[in-house]
Amino acid sequence: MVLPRRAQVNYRAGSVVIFKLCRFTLDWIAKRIAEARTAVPVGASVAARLQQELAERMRERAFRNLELADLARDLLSAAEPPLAKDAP
Amino acid sequence: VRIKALRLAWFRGAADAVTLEAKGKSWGIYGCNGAGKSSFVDSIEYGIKGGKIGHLVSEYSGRNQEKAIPNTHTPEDCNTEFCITFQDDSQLNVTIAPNGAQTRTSASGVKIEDWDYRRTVLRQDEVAEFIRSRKGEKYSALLPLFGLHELEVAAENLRKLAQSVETQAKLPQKQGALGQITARRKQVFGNDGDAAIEARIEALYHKYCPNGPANGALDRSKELESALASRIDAMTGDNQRHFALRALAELDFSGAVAAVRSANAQLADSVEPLITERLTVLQSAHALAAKLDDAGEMHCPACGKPVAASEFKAHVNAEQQRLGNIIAVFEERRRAVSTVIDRLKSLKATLGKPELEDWRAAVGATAFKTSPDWIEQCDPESYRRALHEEDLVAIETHGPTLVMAAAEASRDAPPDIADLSKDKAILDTAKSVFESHALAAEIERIEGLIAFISALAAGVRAEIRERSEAVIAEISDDLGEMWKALHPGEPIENVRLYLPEEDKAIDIALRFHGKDQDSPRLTLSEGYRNSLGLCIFLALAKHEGANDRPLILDDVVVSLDRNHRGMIVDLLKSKFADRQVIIFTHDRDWYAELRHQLDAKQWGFKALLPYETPELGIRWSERTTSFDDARANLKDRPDSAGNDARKIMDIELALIAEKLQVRLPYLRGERNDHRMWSEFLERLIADGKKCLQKKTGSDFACDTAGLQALDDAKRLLVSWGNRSSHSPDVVRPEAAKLIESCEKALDVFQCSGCRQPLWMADAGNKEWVQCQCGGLRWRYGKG
Repeated sequence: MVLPRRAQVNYRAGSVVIFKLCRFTLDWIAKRIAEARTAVPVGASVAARLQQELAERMRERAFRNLELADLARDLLSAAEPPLAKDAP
Repeated sequence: VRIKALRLAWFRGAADAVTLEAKGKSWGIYGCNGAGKSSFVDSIEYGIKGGKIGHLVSEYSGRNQEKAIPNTHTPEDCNTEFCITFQDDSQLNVTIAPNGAQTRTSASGVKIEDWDYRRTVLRQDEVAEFIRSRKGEKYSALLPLFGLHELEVAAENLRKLAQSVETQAKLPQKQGALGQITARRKQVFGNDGDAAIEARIEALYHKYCPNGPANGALDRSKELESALASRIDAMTGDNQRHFALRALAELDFSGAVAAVRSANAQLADSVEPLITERLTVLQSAHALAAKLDDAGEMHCPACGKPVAASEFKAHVNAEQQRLGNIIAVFEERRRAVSTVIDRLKSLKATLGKPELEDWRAAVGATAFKTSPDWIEQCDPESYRRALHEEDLVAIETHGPTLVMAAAEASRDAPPDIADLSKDKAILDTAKSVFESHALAAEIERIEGLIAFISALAAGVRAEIRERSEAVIAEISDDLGEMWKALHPGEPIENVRLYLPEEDKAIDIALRFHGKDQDSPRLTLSEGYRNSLGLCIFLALAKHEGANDRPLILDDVVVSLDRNHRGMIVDLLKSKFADRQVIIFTHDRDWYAELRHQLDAKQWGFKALLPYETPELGIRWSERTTSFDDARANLKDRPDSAGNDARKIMDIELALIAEKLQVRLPYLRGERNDHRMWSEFLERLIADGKKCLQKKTGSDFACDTAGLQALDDAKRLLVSWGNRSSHSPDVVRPEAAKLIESCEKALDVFQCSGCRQPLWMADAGNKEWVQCQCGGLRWRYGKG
């Protein structure tokens, strides 16, 4: 969805929805993840997990330390297989 | 959505209910200091922020600001409350209990909580604060307004996540262990590559396991290890003793201790200036504490040292570089200490073997008898926590002593024992090298994960920057236009927001007399800074236009001179004619200008009475002028009351004369700006005989009653007004009569029918101007 520039600027109020549509669509997140994977190849499971976090909650509030530790552990565990085998 | 009405009761300065009937129009509201203007603004802020008022935050206001929000004299049977009615008739009702707890009821409709405070309300102190803030603080303040807050949250979460992954995975420790293995490899194999090491293990494998089935370097190492262990077990007691002594003799304590000392020395070199600097910072911080902020300096977050903003970036880079070096030395020391500990553990384990019992007893009987006892009591692991110089001396004394004794005792060992010992050392190192490949792969995986998360964060940051630049470009266009409108023809131009090179920063650039400046703090006066802050706020608020929300300005022109205040009126007329603007001011002259210059169809004006007691609270004046300020002085200082009335007439009559295009003799320069009431009033009376007409029936006739009121005011101003300015001889009844007379004189220029000013509309031709209903008119240029 491409919105006029002014609509993107005036995102607040009723346009919070506009913001979500134009910035945090799954397409947008997938594009960001793909770009990062081009720069640094990682496993599909790691990419999928981060994509899910970005889509669901990572943008909404600052994470607490415990949440960060849990997520870091999950990602380390997901990154367990050798990268060469798991990379796309 | 506009505000239709705002009612306060026992909220801040308010007592019994006081209501601003805004009716969706724009308003100019005058009140002297303390009259209660900000109480209205506070209620808006309270509504938007869900129960907090920024300027009341303090250690004294209480958790819910319950000590600051209710009127101090609220009767027990009264509630602290306010109600905002919006244009669509939806309401927000807020009742605040004595403990500060709020009860909100709002019908479906406007949600004021969704309003952006910074785009709705601007107070004088906030203008100054914003311009004074650092570029990082400006970034924090503006980012949510740009619609990029969620991106910022995501980027920050990703940054912290990368740190958490590093901590969870114990990456530094793993890197340290790998470094230790690499150092040992270099010691044993020099610069040999993996293939050469594998070849040496393959040779040993064929030597000790000639028919072994193992393939692969690591499998061969493990099998070889078992084979060597079996061979050692099968040796005679003498040979086992020789083997153990050879192992002891190979331990290099002097080199390991020297490595720790070298790292200690490097650390001392790096840490000493760091400590010296910290002491300097402490001393200077003490002296500068009171004035650091005012001096335009910033505290370096890396070292706490005050640095000039221009040097900040280079300084941080240097600090990071230096800390990076220190961290590297710390790692090197940790590895050296680990090596010493490993060698002590080997020494202790070997000495504990039964085959060395006799030799140990023999050493105990020589001059080196204390060394076996020392090693027995030694706890090598404790050196990880602290390894002092006296420990190093003890290790250096006892370790090499035992190594030398072992070397001496193993000198006559059979050649095959010496070979076996050497092969075992090669095998141990090679095996750890092979095993470290997995460790290296794990480190690579962790680093890859961190790099990926960091790349993702960098991508989000790039998006923030890209979006910010787009929004900033738009806002800067408006900012530049507004600045030009406020400061036409002045040599401060090209005012714009910009993103400095570093992340998370926004600042304002401008061109000052032809020279580019990176910050308004470098050259602009306080008045200009405040004017700039106002422009930024208005530029941001303009982007809120589609929502048609009110714009509330609370005493924002305090530090602006008359010329620039006048320009703000023009700016509001040209840029915000379609918005509801509510201006609160204590500036009597500016209020008079607003009343005369802003379109009376869209604007309303009200004045607040001077505040008397908390029980009386905030009260509206019945008049739109500010004569009630003068009345407030009647009781105690009648001369002051009379003087106030005269000053009000100075400004009001000047504005009326301008509106009615009254001609005055030419005066050069400032003298033109300093004309007094008398000049205007005399001219208005003289011209009024020909120009001021009132409708009677269907005909117009000279407004003789009005001219009489002007003449009466003139007489009293001459006798009592002027005296009030120079002496305390005016008594209360005289001052009261003077005020009343001045009010009547000003009323002459307002229609008694439609209550609109004489210059409200043109009368169908360029010659006449009239009120809204046409009951009162003035003929231009006929004086």
